[in-house]
Amino acid sequence: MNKNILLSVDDLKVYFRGADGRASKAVDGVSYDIRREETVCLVGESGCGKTVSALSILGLIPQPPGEIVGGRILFDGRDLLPLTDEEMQRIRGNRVAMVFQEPLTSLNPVFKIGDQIAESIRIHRKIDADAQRQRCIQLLEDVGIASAEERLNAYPHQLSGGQRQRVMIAMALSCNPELVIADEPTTALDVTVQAQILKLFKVLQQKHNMAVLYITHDLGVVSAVADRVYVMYAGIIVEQGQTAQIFREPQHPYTRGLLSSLPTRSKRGQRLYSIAGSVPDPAHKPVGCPFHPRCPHAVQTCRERFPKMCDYGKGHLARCPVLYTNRNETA
Amino acid sequence: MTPQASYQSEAQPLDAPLAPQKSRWEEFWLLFKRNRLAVAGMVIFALFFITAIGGLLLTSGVDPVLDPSLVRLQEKMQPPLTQPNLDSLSPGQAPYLGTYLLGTDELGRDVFARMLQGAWVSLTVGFVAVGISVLIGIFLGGIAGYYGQNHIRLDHLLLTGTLIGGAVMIAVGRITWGSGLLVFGSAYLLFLFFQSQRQIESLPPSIQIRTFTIDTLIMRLVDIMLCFPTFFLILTVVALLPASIYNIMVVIGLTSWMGTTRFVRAEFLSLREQDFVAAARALGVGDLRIIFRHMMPNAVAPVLVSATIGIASAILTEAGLSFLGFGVPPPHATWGNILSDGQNYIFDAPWLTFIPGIAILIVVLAFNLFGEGLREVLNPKLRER
Amino acid sequence: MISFIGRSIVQKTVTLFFVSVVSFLIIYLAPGKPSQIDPMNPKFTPEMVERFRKQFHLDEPLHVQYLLFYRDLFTGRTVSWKDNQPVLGKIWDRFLNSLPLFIVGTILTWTLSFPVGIRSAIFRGSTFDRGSTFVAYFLISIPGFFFAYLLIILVVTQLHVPVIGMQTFGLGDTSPVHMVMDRIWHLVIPSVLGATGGIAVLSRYVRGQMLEVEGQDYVRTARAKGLPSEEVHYRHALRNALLPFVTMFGLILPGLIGGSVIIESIFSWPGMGRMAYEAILARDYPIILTVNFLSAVLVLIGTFVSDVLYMAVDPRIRL
Repeated sequence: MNKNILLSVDDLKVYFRGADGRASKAVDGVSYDIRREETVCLVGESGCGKTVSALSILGLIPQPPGEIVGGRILFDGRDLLPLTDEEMQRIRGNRVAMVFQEPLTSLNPVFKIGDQIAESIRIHRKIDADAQRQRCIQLLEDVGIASAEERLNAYPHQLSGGQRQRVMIAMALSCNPELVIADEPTTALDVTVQAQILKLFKVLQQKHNMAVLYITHDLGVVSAVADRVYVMYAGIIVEQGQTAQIFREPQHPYTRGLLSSLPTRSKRGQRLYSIAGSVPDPAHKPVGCPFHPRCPHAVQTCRERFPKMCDYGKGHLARCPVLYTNRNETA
Repeated sequence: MTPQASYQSEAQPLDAPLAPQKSRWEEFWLLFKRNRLAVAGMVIFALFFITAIGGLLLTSGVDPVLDPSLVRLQEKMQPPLTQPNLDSLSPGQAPYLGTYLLGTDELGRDVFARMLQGAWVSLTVGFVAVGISVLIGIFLGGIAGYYGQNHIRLDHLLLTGTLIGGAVMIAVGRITWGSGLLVFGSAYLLFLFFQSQRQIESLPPSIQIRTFTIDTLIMRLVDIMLCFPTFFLILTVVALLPASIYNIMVVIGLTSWMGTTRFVRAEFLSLREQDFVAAARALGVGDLRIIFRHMMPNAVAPVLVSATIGIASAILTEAGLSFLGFGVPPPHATWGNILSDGQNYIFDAPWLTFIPGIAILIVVLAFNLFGEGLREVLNPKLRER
Repeated sequence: MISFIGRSIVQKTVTLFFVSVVSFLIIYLAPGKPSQIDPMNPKFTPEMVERFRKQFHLDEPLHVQYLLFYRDLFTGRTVSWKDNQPVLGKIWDRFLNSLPLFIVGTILTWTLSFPVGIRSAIFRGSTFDRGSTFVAYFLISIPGFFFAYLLIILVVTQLHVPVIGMQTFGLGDTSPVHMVMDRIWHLVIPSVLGATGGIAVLSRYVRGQMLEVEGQDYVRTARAKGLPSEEVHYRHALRNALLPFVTMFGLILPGLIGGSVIIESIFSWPGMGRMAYEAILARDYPIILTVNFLSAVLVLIGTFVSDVLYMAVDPRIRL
């Protein structure tokens, strides 16, 4: 196996048991790789399984009702799924850290932020209280919080939304993790703050040599941060490739739809494109290609057979045999 | 094709797969039936209901099938399932079922018949008491939640004072003064009712002073009621009033509406801010229609839950009152007074204690489990994620 | 902060005034006469009734009676109609009797419900959770006096320990150990009974709070940091779940007075609840009203203490 690959998710399946006993297939056979010091984006509409697949890396899926049905998650060559809780605790926050979507609810309201940051240092590094404190101040300065020393004693509700997310990032960075999973870290923030946070991510990533798995539904964010992109739809990966490949030559109808629904200057005055229909209920997915009911190119096979990945070269793959054959025939 | 039509066709999903639509009922039942204790509670609830109605039919009337008040001193304190000694009984005294299913009490009355009658009485006490408290709770809570921000003007207070003063004066015998005040008050009331906003604004400003909000008034009232130790208050009032089943129902009802008021108010306050209410108001829908068509259906679920649990606690309260000797007076049998009579003979005739005690336990337990099950289904926060 | 305290005190005084009016009206407007001046009672001659009426100001108009009553109450001169003893002194004696019951009961309630509630929330759906849920509902649903009789039968017939009253009569000269044990036995059963309802309700409430908090994002954050699960549950989750219970410390206070009429009656425990019950039976208005008034005062002090405590523990609330 490539030594350079830090995390490799292989055919991961996560199901949730519903009230009626039916399994809702939130993640249904997803594979992706993250190389060291790389930023990978996982893109898709809400409800397509992005967050669930990220939470399973850290073993944070609530079980029950969730259940990891199959697959492997290799981190640095070791499968995380069979690990015990104690073994996972040594990885969480230490080698893999996570930044969540809602900084307000993700910070504990009754603890000072200094204590919350110091907590993971205390657990994973054997250093004394004074050194912990120094480290916290250092981290807060790194993430761009002014007068860091005073801020240590602040409670989360005393900070602004952007500052809270900076604290979350400081918390994630506290043990120099090799991988940071960022689950829509800017969605809850104002647009101007969003840009600052994205920039901060870039700077910190270079400084700390870490890989980032960035989960978002916002293609603007993707183009700003990603080296490579995985597009998810209804629990599966439908297209993957370099950022440039995805944006210049999208191959899957879903990716194309997503891109053409972006407002751009050349499309001024036209009605914005939108993909008809909505993401299928994960408990009642259509047979065949999950996208076929919304797909303008759907043919009979799409309704019958689950599509295979088609290789466009240089790591660019898309799960749409119909367009693949069409293209090869015209070429 | 008109632009309108093309827009519509665009908005139509092609043949998007939709989850099979379940009605609210089906979904509710699906969630509810997973909680087996709650389902058991519901079944017992239904059985209790049927028993109570059956009991009413069988034990009332001039010549009831099962007579709960028929005294047979020669057959007193027979354990359950005893065959009656037919020689000592006159023909009319023989139990209908040919046996004392649940034994007889210290006067030889058939415990089975008394339990059947008591089921109906206990159920009525529970339902009426809770009905009263729920009505008051919804009314006051709804007003506080919906109109709460309106201020009470000084003239409203003066008017209330005038009317009450008039009534009191008439009551103490000063008819002339009293009726004068009443007439004046009613005239002002009519004036407020039929005059337009502008004419009311032309009143002297000194009596238009805004005092406090309706919400303040109602919530302070709740605070006042919460200051009384509930059981002690019920006991005092029931003890001072003449013994009667209706007094007990009304008193329990009048002392337990505060919880409902509080959360109906909270519910209304949050519903008021919801977009669908704003939309209805923007469409010019009247207040009453908004309250009853748009807001009430959303607030009714938690009220139902607390009503279910309230019935359980009303039955327990009645039993407690019976124990202290202030329960439903004879000739009505309730499970509470059967139990409290029976405890005098706890060693000689334990069934007189255990049968009503266990019956109350099971029914109250069923109500509680059913209510909690409802709460769990209706409150998305408590559902399993 | 100062303004908050000022406002609360004014508001609570007003509430107290209305409580005093309402309770006064309830008692005095109820039909029937106090038994001491009941003309139907053959023990009382019309002259005696007349003297009583004068003595209790019953000939005055209602509002004068109200003022007189509360003047007497505040100057400590109120006397029981039944035996002419000062009301406050009587209440104090009975209060001292109720106090041990109350303290033991409260300690039992608070020390048992928290571990049970927290454990059932953490292991939601486990055997322990389902078992404790069922027991809690059982205890909430059983009529208190029925349960008391079951316990008495059990203790008296199986353990041969007398439990009625505060101590066994005629134990004049036994060993001190025996005396102490006797007192403890008499104390334990009523306390346990008094606590059962509280334990059941409180443990359910703790469980609900804990479950709600366990679903919060910050608990997930704590787990994502790699904290051991004990620290996640008992530091991050519990700290938040406990906030509402701080306010309940204040609400224990009223329990001091309300006591438990039923339990004290069953065990012939000469406490507050029983005194109140006897007062109701004898239509001893001063005692009923005083108990009511004191209990309202305690409720108001309790809510005030709750508010202040809540401010002290929740960093989000500052005035």
